[in-house]
Amino acid sequence: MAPRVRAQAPAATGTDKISFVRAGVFLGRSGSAIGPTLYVEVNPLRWLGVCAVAAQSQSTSSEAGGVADDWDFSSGFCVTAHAPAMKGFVISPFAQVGYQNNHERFAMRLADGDLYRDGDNEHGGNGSWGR
Amino acid sequence: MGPMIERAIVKNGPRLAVRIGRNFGKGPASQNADGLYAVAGVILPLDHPVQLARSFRRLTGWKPAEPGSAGGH
Repeated sequence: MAPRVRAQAPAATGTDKISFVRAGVFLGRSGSAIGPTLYVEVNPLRWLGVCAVAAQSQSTSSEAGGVADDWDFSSGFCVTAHAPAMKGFVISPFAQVGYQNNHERFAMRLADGDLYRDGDNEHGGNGSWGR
Repeated sequence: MGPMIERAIVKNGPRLAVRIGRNFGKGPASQNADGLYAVAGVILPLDHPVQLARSFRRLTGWKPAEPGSAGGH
């Protein structure tokens, strides 16, 4: 009688455990506008980790006959928990606090040819919570 | 609390991730787009760099040439 051979299942994606150290790159609305985000995460426990983020966003728009530039830099840290994977998806709630430096510049050419400039620098702490 | 949703592209390899939340507080980020925080990207597990490199090979379908297979007649 031939021995029974059990077929080996292919390695499923998304089922490997959360690494101790992870790093990532994101793109999206992190502050006042859209920009890149650098992300580092350390997980001392399999289900709990701390992370740090650094992000920049920038937007340019035409307003009132002039050009408005808005850019900011945000940095902060977060605490995250990792739920068990479900069908390859891992859902990790996070709470994040950060500090943001925001800069606004407005420039407009006046009728007499002069260039009108105005600007504002703003900074402050903020936190991010998922809804 | 806010979620980050992620999924591995290949085993031990890069993971696609989305982070969604809301900015609040005094910062300008909380005053634009109702404080929306939404980013998407890639996370790399750094525990095993060799396995990570192999995952990129699987991802791209690249296979190392076997000894003696190149230039043979």
